[in-house]
Amino acid sequence: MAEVWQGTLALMILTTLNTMGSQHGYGIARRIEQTSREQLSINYGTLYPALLKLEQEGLVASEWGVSENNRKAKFYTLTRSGRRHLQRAAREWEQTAAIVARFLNPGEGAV
Amino acid sequence: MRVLRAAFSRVRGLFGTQRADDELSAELTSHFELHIAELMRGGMTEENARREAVLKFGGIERAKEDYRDQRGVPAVESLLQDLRYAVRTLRKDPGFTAIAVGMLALGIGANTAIFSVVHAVMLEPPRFGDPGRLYVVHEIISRFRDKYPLLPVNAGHFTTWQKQWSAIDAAAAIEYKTDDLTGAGEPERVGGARVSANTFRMLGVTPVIGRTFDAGDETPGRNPVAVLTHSIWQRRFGMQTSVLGKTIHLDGRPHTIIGILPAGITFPSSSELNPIRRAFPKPEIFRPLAFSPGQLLSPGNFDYQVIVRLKPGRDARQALEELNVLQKSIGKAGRIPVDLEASITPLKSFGIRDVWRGLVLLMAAVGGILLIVCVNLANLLLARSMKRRRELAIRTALGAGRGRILRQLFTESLLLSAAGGIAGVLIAIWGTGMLIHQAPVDLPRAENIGLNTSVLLFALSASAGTGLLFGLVPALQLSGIRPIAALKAGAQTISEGRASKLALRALVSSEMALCTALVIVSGLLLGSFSSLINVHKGFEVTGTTVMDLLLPQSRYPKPQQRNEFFRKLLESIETLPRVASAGMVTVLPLRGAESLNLVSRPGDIRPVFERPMALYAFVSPGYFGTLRIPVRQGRTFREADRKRKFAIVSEHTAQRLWPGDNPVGKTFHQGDTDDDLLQIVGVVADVRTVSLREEPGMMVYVPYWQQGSAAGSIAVRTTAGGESLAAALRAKVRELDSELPVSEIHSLQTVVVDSVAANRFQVSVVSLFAAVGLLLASLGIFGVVSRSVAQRTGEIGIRMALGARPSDVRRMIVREALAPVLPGLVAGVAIAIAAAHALRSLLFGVGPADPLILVASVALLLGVALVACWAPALRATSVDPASVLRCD
Repeated sequence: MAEVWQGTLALMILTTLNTMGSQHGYGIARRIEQTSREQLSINYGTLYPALLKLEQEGLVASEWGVSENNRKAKFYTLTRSGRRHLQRAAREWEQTAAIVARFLNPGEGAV
Repeated sequence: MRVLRAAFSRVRGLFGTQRADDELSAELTSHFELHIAELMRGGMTEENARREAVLKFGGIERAKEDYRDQRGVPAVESLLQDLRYAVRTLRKDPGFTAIAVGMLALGIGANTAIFSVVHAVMLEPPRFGDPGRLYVVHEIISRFRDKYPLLPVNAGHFTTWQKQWSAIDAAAAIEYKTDDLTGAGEPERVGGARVSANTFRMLGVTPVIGRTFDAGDETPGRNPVAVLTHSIWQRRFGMQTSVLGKTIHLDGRPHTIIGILPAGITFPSSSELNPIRRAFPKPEIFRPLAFSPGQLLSPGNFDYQVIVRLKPGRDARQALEELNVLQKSIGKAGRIPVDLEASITPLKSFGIRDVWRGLVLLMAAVGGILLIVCVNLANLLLARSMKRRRELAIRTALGAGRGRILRQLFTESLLLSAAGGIAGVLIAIWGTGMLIHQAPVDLPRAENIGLNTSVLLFALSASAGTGLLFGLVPALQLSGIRPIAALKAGAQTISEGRASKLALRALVSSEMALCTALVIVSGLLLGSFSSLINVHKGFEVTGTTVMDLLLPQSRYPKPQQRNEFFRKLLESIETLPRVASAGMVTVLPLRGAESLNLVSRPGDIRPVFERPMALYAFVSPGYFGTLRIPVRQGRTFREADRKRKFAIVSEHTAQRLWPGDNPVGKTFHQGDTDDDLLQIVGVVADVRTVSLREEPGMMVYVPYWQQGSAAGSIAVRTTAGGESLAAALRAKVRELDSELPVSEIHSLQTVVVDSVAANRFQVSVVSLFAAVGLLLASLGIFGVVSRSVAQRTGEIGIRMALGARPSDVRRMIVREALAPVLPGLVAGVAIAIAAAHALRSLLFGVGPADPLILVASVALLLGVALVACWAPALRATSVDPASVLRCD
């Protein structure tokens, strides 16, 4: 369960950055909560190790900058390989979801 | 690709952690500021906002930890952490660390040094091409199998083998000698060899410059040529390539240098290939070997060492069978029929036949020392760890798994052994140098002894193995600690559990066993050596100086010239002050068997090889007097005897060949029936000739002038002080012949001692190990007993307060301390006797279970153990019981 969760957290971070462009850790966390319509309640702290992992894999890049209210913050941006990875991962998720759905709804030419 | 990039980032994350931590802190601070600001915008107070932000964040420390784990390589980091911690703990206890590293350095260093010797001599294959197919061949005359199991090869037989032995690719014959090198600086006597032209090609040795021999060089009469080894090229010719084509004089005759051999090639020495003859110095100059027609036809001379290369795919056993068949037909077809056989042995194993047992003994002894060191260290660590129980209990209570604590403890022991290993390598370098210096001269491949990859690898494994071994006991002991028991107040006075007591006893027993075995074996070797050195030699060793001379063929071609030289030299030496007498002999006693020949009594018409054989020595009249060999019957030679042909026989010869008779006046032929007829004028006492170990065989002495030998050793008996005699002797030689090189001049005592150099080396090294082992073991026992006493001070105080006398308490402590020592002693005796049986051939004059040595050793060991147990007991009971009981 933890594995799947980590994988989806990474996916959610990448999606968020894809939509929002450059954003700091707190902003990303807030946005994820909003997107899931407050159904997901994550500990904000778990984001930082996940962001580091994405950075190590070259999917995001980080840079110190200044936030809207003039506070120093570290901003993350999606890299080109990050975008490629996101597209591929999204496709895989959809395929997996479709297969599972077919299993659960045996009416459509099932086994 | 992603994974690789991530891995790379993580390795990079091991460095610069301080800055990264600061950056993380900054990022988290900024996160909280942003969150708190947003909450406050929604109307919260700062305090509530802060609380809410912290709650929403989740565990801060947990997040930081996860971040750090993600950033670096956690395994490496915790290992580094263990290392840093281990270094800190070791630094806090410098005394312990110094002792531990010192003991380890000694143990690992000694093992590495001995291993480097064993590696070079026994394990490393000889540096020839395809050495596995090289074999040494000896002849066997069935009749003489008992006395002379392996004989060198006859020239005629060798050429037959070359033509008819189909199992071999190539065969090479070698004749060892010494050469007088002149015409290129200081005259020097060097070791040399005459070898078949194809020898170096067969061995796969290509010259560094020039060439080696070809078939044409074997034709007698062609320009004499020579090939030099790398060592002499370096030593005398400064490694200049211009040396090719230069002329040097060997035994007075000019030779052209045509090639230089590469460095690192160790040509087998004469003692490696021919055990019965004395060792020639290692060959440095090679000349082509050419058989004269006379040599090829002579059936009785077995003078050459032979190495062959088997054809690929040929079995050694098959080859030997084929050779034996060939030998049989050779033997039958000869002028004198004889039962011939042969033996072939791989080149490498032949060289070490006599040496490997001694080397294995050394390795076992030094390994024993390392084990004792391990046991001591295990004890020491156990003691230290007891003091750390509290600390380890807290760590366990805080959540450290058993594995984590085990890793920490092993890291400490491995760190110790690594430090010991490094110091040990340094000790090994020094020790190896010393070993080479002291090692017997004819140790095969001794030049290759040195530090190389294999030796370093050995040191590494020894360190790692040692660290794991001695770390095992305390690690297992402590990693299973139960926090509550250990943290209870007064935990210091809880004595060790049963399992640990047993472990301790086992350690002490094993230490004692190893130490006992070492001491007893060393005692046996000492006893052997003493018997050997003091065996009745038949001649007197003290007060005699010897000098070796070899007259070059070129300037002394006629026997009369050589005889004249020696006569004049002996005469002039006897005029020197402080000279009591002087004598000459062709081969000094204990220098090996030089000249074997038949003794054919008149009327003995048996076939040649059934007649008795004796060692012949050619002596001057003054010889027996100089060496104080008593004349039993008749007289020694006189100058007036020069016109007749006389001989003197030894007692053994007289008893064997003329039993019950007085042989004086009897005659025999020196060799076959058509050789000189000699008349016996005297009988002398037996002398140990070949070696100290061997009983005297049959000896015949013939005056040197009947032989005209070019080689002679002059023995001079002095009345007082012999050092300055050397200069005087050289002067006398120079007077007669200024160009004659004189060998080293030394005392007869040195000759005797040199003949047992190998034994002396072995004895001194093993005794050193035994002494070190004894010291280590006694320190170990002392440590264990002291610690056990220290733990029991409370109990001792109570006993004394209740009325026990100090002597009672002492006796109790000693009795309990000796309990594990005694079974160790018994086990050690058993091990020693078993080892001595296996090494029986190394002993002389003492049996493997010699009672005197056993009793003496056991007494010594018990005494030492007793002192080691008594001393701490004494200290314990001298403490005032009241003060002990007060502080708890």
